[in-house]
Parts: sequence; structure tokens; C-alpha cells
Amino acid sequence: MDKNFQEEFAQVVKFTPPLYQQRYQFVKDLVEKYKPKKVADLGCADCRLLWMLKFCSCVEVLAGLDICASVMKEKMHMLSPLPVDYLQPSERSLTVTLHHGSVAQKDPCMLGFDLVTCIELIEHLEESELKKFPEVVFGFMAPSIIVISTPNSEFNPLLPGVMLHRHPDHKFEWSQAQFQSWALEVAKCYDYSVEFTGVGHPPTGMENVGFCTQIGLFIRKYPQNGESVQSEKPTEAVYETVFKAVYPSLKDEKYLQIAVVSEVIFTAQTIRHHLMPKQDEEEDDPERKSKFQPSVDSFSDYLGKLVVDKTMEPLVNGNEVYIPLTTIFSFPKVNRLCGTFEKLCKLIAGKVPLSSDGSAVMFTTEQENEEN
Amino acid sequence: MMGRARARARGRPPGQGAPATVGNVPVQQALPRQLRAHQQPQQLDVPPPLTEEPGGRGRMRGFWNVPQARRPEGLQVSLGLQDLSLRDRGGRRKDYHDLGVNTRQAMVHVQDSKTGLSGRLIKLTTNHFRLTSRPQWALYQYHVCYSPEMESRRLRSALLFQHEEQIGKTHAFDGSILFLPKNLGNKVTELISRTRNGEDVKITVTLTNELPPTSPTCLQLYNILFRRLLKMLNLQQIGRNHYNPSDPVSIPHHRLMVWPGFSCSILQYEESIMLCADVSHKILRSETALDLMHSLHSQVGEERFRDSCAKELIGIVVLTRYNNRTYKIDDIDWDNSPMGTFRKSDGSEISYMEYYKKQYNIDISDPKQPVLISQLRRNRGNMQGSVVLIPELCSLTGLTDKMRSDFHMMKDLAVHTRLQPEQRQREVGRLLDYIHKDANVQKELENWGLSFDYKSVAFMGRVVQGEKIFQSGNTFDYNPQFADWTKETKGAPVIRAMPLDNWLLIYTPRNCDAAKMLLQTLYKVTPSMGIRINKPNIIEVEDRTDSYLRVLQQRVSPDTNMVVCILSSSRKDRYDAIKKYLCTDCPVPSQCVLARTLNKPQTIATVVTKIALQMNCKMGGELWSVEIPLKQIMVVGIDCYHDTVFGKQSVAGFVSSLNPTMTRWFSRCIVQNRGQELVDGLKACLQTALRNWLKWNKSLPSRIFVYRDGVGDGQLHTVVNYEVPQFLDSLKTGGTDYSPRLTVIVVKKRVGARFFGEVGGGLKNPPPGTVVDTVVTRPEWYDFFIVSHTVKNGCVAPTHYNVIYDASQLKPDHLQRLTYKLCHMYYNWSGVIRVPAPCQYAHKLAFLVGQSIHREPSLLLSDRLYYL
Repeated sequence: MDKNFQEEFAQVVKFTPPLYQQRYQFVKDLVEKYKPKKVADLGCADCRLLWMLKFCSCVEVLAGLDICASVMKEKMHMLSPLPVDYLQPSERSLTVTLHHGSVAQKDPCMLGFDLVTCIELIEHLEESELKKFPEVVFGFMAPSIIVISTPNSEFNPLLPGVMLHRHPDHKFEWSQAQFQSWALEVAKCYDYSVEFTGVGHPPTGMENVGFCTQIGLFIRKYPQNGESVQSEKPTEAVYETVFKAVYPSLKDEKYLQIAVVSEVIFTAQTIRHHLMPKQDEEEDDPERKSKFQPSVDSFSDYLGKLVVDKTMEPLVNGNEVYIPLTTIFSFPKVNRLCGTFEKLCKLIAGKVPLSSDGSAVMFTTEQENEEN
Repeated sequence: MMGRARARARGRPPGQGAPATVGNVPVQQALPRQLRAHQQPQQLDVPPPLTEEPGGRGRMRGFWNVPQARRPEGLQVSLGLQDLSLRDRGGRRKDYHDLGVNTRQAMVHVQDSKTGLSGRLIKLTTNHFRLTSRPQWALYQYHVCYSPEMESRRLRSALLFQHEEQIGKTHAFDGSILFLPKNLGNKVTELISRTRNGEDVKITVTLTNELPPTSPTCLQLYNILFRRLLKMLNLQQIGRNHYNPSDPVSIPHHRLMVWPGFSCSILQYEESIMLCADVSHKILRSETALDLMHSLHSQVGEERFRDSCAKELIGIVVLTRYNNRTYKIDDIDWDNSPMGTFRKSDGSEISYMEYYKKQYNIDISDPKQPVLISQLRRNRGNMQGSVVLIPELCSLTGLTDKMRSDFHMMKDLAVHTRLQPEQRQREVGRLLDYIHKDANVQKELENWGLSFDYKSVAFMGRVVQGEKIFQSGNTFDYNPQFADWTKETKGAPVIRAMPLDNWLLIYTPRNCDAAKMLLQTLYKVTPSMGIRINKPNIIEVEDRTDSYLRVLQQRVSPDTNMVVCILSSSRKDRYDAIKKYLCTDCPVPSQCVLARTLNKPQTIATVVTKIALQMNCKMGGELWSVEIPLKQIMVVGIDCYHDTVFGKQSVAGFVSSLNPTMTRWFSRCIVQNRGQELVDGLKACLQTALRNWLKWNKSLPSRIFVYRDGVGDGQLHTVVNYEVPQFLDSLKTGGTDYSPRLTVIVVKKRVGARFFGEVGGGLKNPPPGTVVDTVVTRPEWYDFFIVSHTVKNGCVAPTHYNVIYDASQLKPDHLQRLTYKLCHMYYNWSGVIRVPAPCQYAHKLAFLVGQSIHREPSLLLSDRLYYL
């Protein structure tokens, strides 16, 4: 349901930053700490938490699940890759998927996650669903970490306007004791440890009321038994996929190749221009040459990384210029992209004009003269 | 050659229209400050009320292209509709299809028909696709009110859609107006929703309107829906168009990426509502602003570093790494850095580095880089200000003028962006294919009861007869397929040859050979053209701007016919200095020639012939003419130049004919600072134009045709309501009994429509002279398309002519013919061009003044084409 929304009313007891942000920050900090690769948000609603998590560089798979498809659809495009993600594909891969379905049902797409978050979710569940919830999340999904947050009903008297529950869709709101006993029981049953914490500190003097939002952090005690776990649980897919975005990544050969080819050609050109300043450039501007200082630092040490020494001298043969691949490979950016020299050769094969023995990038000067 | 080369080097060829830097400017919604908006995510939910304001250059403002990633589509719909409702209440806002301007109704003679007759018929297809709706389709408009009153739009929406089973999944709601493709059954539907406070809210949904598929409201909705569909197809919206980023073309030699995409709009055309879909290419650069700074640093060195950064970066549009916005760079703040701080809305200070780390988990690797400044374009209430951007996080888009002038780069690009007719239509067909094959898209369309035709519309156009070229007693026919008579008229005497009696030839010692070559060839080629040529005053100068200037000051006198400067490089500052001096301080026609254009012996004769003709025009000569059957007419061309880089001034060129054969022109320009209205200047220009016409013809013209170019999308309203009355007003100065017939035609080169001739089962560019005035024109306008020129590669773009005022009583056919004739009269190109010659002259003039001179040139030159 609409979690952020309800806080607007609760804001009379001021939380800065707003409580929902604190809850998200809590999850984000957790992600920073445990570096999970696969994260699922159950009851992801408007996908705000998922959006925050997509910036965490450790995350490679993000999944959202909600019972209401329209609330997800409303903002799901926030999770799409940006133009720049295509322009400069990142090292990591990232796939974001949104599913429409219930936490009371098992679907194999939720297997294998490292972290599952249920932020302000359980209080929206009907009794029957709440009953199935532990089996689905703890028994079936069985991620290494589970975060469950829920309102602390003891805090409610401090929130003006809250009669029974903070939101009409809440089926219940638990006191600290109620939540903790439920959590402990579930943890015990599925072999998890649980720690309690929360966000939204009570006003001074009323500390015994507890956090406004109570949080249970569950950590699986047994190690993951790998693939076998999944094969033991043959389940049919019941969720409907409403959104899927695969972020361009350098792990994808296609994007890696584009990046490498582009970098190789650019590097080769840079070397060439550095070592053999073009005649007509001088002609264009006689004043320019005297001021040409290849590695002066101006605003930053970062500048002038390009150190070109004489050993890198390209070979000139008639109107052809050869720039050895080994030279190009020694440039940090190319090096980082390819990793190995063999990989470099493989990636640029057929995409970059090479010398006959394949050891150097070749330019023909004729081609350049056309510019004029 | 020279003229062409220069157009490429310092301007854009006429066909290219506005620079990409303008076209790319995004809709900057008036969020307070970018940073503030980011740190309060809840602001995302409550976008500022969108009352699109008029102002600025209109073409980039469409309400439906609000950057997407931060706008849920549901809201987008409502924003659009809210806007719409504003307009319906009489508010004026800018829409780039100029929807609200209905000019045809005032012109009686084209009420029944605005089509011409002459020419042979040709079967054409186009890139328009019919949008069809179910029979008896209607859009139901409801007013929704709440009791008790609910303020938040989000809340209103949430409460209403608690009843989704009743309302249906297909809807568009802006908080008070609800559009549904189905009738709820009752005039008034009452619903009860419960807020989370347990409060019951009564929602009254009242049917207010049942809209037919052709109503303007529906058109808005179609466009909004279509954008939804494109997004469902995973296309990325940048600016107004949508691109497919998963299939990029990389051009590593220039660090460029080209994304294929589409520009689409749905409009009411003559007989039906159609989708106009064209191929568009987005040029992106696979480097960040910081990368560019680094490479500039290594290229130009320390001293000129800041200067060249400013030159290369200011005016460029960047994409940021963390959101889906584009920003135009207005300044570089060298004293700031990512370590600098700003104040968040809660009052705390945070550095940019920390902020990006915290908000987006982005590590800025270079803490010492300067920062970029982008002004928010829209000043509204307290929402003005600027945005600080970190170069490292900004990706560059579009091309700089420097890149455009790189012939090699443009050639490499053209390989990917210039599509032959067949290819182009195939690409567009692919979009329709996506639409038809994607299940989700089809479902959405079905829910709304809409569908698109598979096949683009086909119809008959006309190809009007080619013109005869008259040149000093000779008549030339040219091959209408090529629309060029360079060969035919080669070596023929021109109508009016101006002698080169007293002229200067200035060059540097290094270019001595080039100068000799030029001179020898001039002696060779000019006699047959009838141009008398004396030995010039030959002056050698040092290769420095001030030496050129000193020579000009010492040696140019008022009786100098012409100054020819041979330049060793295309350095803009030198060219500017020479032109500025010779256009304002000492008005004498001048010709600058790049030494290297004289290097190639095999082309020298052609090059020098062109130079000779160009110089002849600059001195007031006349080259050729076509038959103009109308007598006593004055033709005016107007075009604008906007300084995109510094945004400081705009220049309007104004060119009017002086003689019946349209071979002589009177030229003036208006230099205006930002915010000034063009209108006053135009009025004065028209008055002097009339005075000059009177001087030349001993009477005043009885008909005046104004070809107005440079009208941006969405600015038509202004031209119709402000400029035309002013033109009419200034005609009154001709005396009480003087009432000429005025015609005003808005000329537009940037249009989405493309036409293809069906030849032998394949698609070809339509031949020059193709006129289209049915099916794809707009019913509320007196408009037509003419394809007047040819292109070697790719698809020819038709020019759109919109007659917004016409008292000439000419038949449409005659007006079309006159327009086409005028496309033959541009003396810098011995062929047919895309726009009437006066528009192209006006463009050239405005460009020269805007780029190089920055103030109005001396009026002593105004009867000559000195700016060619």
C-alpha cells in the first residue's frame, strides 16, 4: 500500500528526515554493510526503495513484488536505465524486475536472494496471508537476511489523528511485545537469528514507548546449500512480471566490445596526435605550438595522465602509421576494460584496422588529409 | 565551392535548420533547484502545478515531453490534461504544433479549395499513418469533486481509484478531470471512499462532455497515449523524440554514438487524424565534460585552456548520470569544485561530493574539477536560479559548431544518419511493426479503442513544370531531375557584370602561389562571363589579424570595388575582423578565400568561376532570372539568427526585391538583444523597403509577398497576431490612397513530413517541383509543401509553406508557382534551393551579422548582396 503517503499525516510528531526515508536509509545502510548481490523488496509499492537501491554498486539483481500492479506501474519507469547508462555502461550488471503477486504464494523467481525486505508490509496482510507469510519468505525464499518493519502500536497515542490504525488498510498494528514474540517464533522455526531495532525515536522521557517503526533483522543461521535447495522446491510460476529492465553492462560482450573498440581507437589517435602533431594544425595556428605542453597540471592531478615516452613511438611507413597494440594496452583505461592482452585482441578483431600481423593499429594518413 | 564550403564551415547548410543545441533543449520543468528537488524525494510525488508559460523559443516546449524518469506516466497524462483544461478556459500556452491557430477561415478565396492545378500527377507515399477509432467511439469527460474537499492531487487520485472496478483500468485523470473511453452509465455517479483516517469522502463523478475522436482534447490524449506506448517499447525519450539505446552505432574515431529513434506526432490532417512518424538520430558523445576538458588541456595548453573550455562547453547540452534530465551549460565556475558546499532545504550544508555519494552512491574521482552552471530557463515565482553540475557526471550530447565543420566527421556521421527513401520508410515501418506486435501496446490501444494503420497513406501530388533560366539574352533549360544549371550556363555572360576596376588582393607571402593561381584563373574565366577585370593592387601581409586590418585601413578607399583576402586558415576571429571592418567602418564588398581551396589544379577553374560570380553579386551584379508573370510586386524574405552559444542577441535579416525581375535586392538587418520584440524593427524595414522600391520603380508595389522564415514551433500565433497587423500598419505610410495587397507566408524547413515517389515498385525521392496540398496539410490552414531541391544522399525534405494572410486574391496554383520560381533565384547556387531566394539571402545576412559583425552593416551596401 501507500506507505509514504501515510506519513504525511504522522508528520505532526516531526521526524527529520521523514520516517519513510529513515526506513529506506536503514535498508540502504544494511546493503552497504552486507553487500548483497540480489535484493528483493516485498510490497515495493511505488518502487522508491528499489530506486534508491539501484545506485548501490554491489546490487546486481533487484526484484520488487506487490499485490497491486497499478501502484507499481505508476512509477516503474524510474527503474529504467538512463541514457547515460547506455553511454557509459557500468562494470556491474543489473537487472530490475517487478512482479505482481502475493507474499502468500511461492514463485521460483524469488529464490536465491541475499536480502529480502518487507518494509511496512505485514500489517497489510489478512490473517490467512500472514499465516502463510513465514513459510513463503523464511521457508521458501530463505535469503540470508530478511528485514521486516511494521508500525509500533505503542507509539500511536503520540500520533495525532490516529484512531485505531495508522492506515485504514492496516489489518493490525502490533505492540513491541507482539511483534517480538511473532518474530522470535518465526526465527526459531526457520533457523534464523533475529535482532530488534527501529527508526523514529520516541520523544525524550517516553523512551519505553519504543521506536515509531519497529524493525526485525533476521539472519539465516544455516549456510545456503546451493543449487540443491532450488531443485527440492519445484514450484510453478504464479507471479506476473510487470516490468523488467536489464541495464547495459560491460559484462555483456556487446557493450564491452563497443567500449573497447571506442577506447582503442581514441587512444591510438591520441598517441598519434601527441607524437606527430599534424602539419595543418600548426598552419591553422602558429601560436599554438609554442604553448603546447603535454602534461601540465592545471586544476587537478588527474590531468596529464597521458605520459608518452619515446619507446611508444609509432611506426610510420609511407602513408601508414602503426601504433602497437601493446602500447595501447598499457593505457590504464584500455587495460582496465580488457584485463588481458588476449582479450583486447579478441574484442577488436575485425572492428579496428590492424597491421597485417595484427600487432598494431593502423591509420592511413590519406584518410586524414581528406579533412581539409 | 567557396560559398558551400563556408556555409559548412561557419554555418549550417540551409537544410539543416536550427542547430542541435537548440533542438535538444529539454523541457525544464520549474522545480525549485535541482538539488533541492533531489533530496526531498516526496517532491517527486507532488510536481509543481504545470501551467506552461509562453516565452522563450517555442519549439522545445511541449507539455508531453516532460522528462520521464521522474514523472510517472499517470501523472504525465494528468499534467497534459490539466494544461489542456487551462487552454480550454482561454489561457494561452505554447504548443509546438500551433494547434490553436486557425488562419484559413479569414481567407474567403480558399474556403472551398486551397489546391493548385498545374503540373503532372505523381503517386506519392508519405510517413503518415491513419489513426482509427472504433465506430461510435467517444471520449467521456467527467468532472470529479470531493466532499469534503481534498487538496492533494495524489490523495484525490488514490481515493477515486479505490473504485477501479467501476471506473475501469483505462483512464486519464488530472485530479479533477477524468477521461474514460467508456460511459459510466449515469450522468452523475456517486462513490464513497475512505481515507486512512477512516474518514468517508463522497466523490461525485459528473459527465460533462462526450468528445468526438476529432476534438482537440482527444488529440492531446492521443499524443500522451502514444508517448506511453513508446515507453512501453523501451524507447528512451530525449527532448521530444524517442530513441532506441540498445542498438547504438558507435563512431569511435570521433567518440560519438548515434542512437536510432523516432520523432512522432499525432495531428488532425486534412481528412483524418494521423500519426506522422519520422526517423530521428540522436548524436551522443561517449565522453564526459571532464574528459573533454582533459583532452582540451592537452591540446591547447594552460594558457588558452579556460577559453577553449568555455568555447567548447558553453551552449552544449549535457545528460547527467543520475537522472534523466538534460541541461544546457551556461557557464563554468572555475572557483568552485565538487568540494564546494550548498545548503540543503533543511538548512544543513553539504558538499557536492558528499551529496552525490549519499544520494546516488556516486564517487567523484576528481575533487578539483571546476563545476558547470546551468540556468533554469523558466523563471516562475521563486523557482528561478541555476543548477550546479559536476563535469565528471555530465555526458555531452549533440555536435558543436567545430564538429560540424569537421568534414570528415560529418561524412562518417552521414553514413549512419542519411537514409535513402527505401531505408527510411523501412525504419519507420519498423516502429509501426513494434506497435502492432507488442502485446502490451496492443492491449493499451485496444482498451482505448484505437488502432493505427499498417500502411502509410498514399495520394497524388503534382510536379510543376521546370523553369527556364534567362541569362543575358540566352535561355537555358536544365534537367529538372538535377535542379541545377551549373553546366548549362557555364561561361555564358551574366545579366549584369560589374567590372573589377579598382580592387585589392591581399595575401601572406606563404600564399603567394595561391594568389597567383587565383589571379591567372580569374583572367581566364571572367571574359566569357562579361566581367571586365583590371590588375589588382597586390598587397602582401604578415599572417596576423592586425596586419590584415592595418592594410585595410591604409589601402581601402570608397572607390575600391572589391577587397579579396586570401586566408591561410579558417580562423574565425580574423574573418570576423575583416568582415566587420569592411561591412561597417568602411563599407566595401569583400571576398575571403581560403588558400587551400586554390590548391587543387583540377578544381581551380570551377572554384574561381564561383568566386567570380559571387564577387559579381557582391558588387551589385545580376546573374540570371526566371519569368515572373506578376507585375508591380515586391517580394520580401525574413529569417532570424539566434546566438545559441551566448544567448545574447538575435539577428533578423530582411531582404526585399527592388526590380520586376527579382534580380536586385535590398537588404537590412535588425540586431536585437534578448527580450526585445522583432516586430518594431520589421516595421521600419518594410517602410524603407517600400521607399527603395519607389525609388527604383517610380511607383509603389501593388502586391507584397512576405516569406517569413525562422518561425519556431509554437510561434505562429505571434506572427499571426502581432507581425501581420504591424506589416499592414506600416503599409499605411505609403499614403492614404495606397492599399497594396499583402500576402504573408510562413516558411518552415523543419517538418516531420517526408514524401516518396513510387517509381517502379520502389521508393524514390520526389522530383524537384513536387507540390503537395492535400491529405497531409492541415484543414485549418492555407498551406502546401514544395519539394524544390534535390539531395545526393538520403531523403529530400519538403518545405512547408503556410499562407497566414492573403489579400493577393491569387489562386493557390499561382502562389505555389511564384514560390517555386523564387527558389530558383539564389545567386550563390546555380540550382534550385529549399526556400525562396529572399529567405536564403535573409538567412545569409543574419548569419553573417550574428556570427561576425554583431551590428547592422552600413546601409551603403544595402542594395548589393554583399553578404553572400
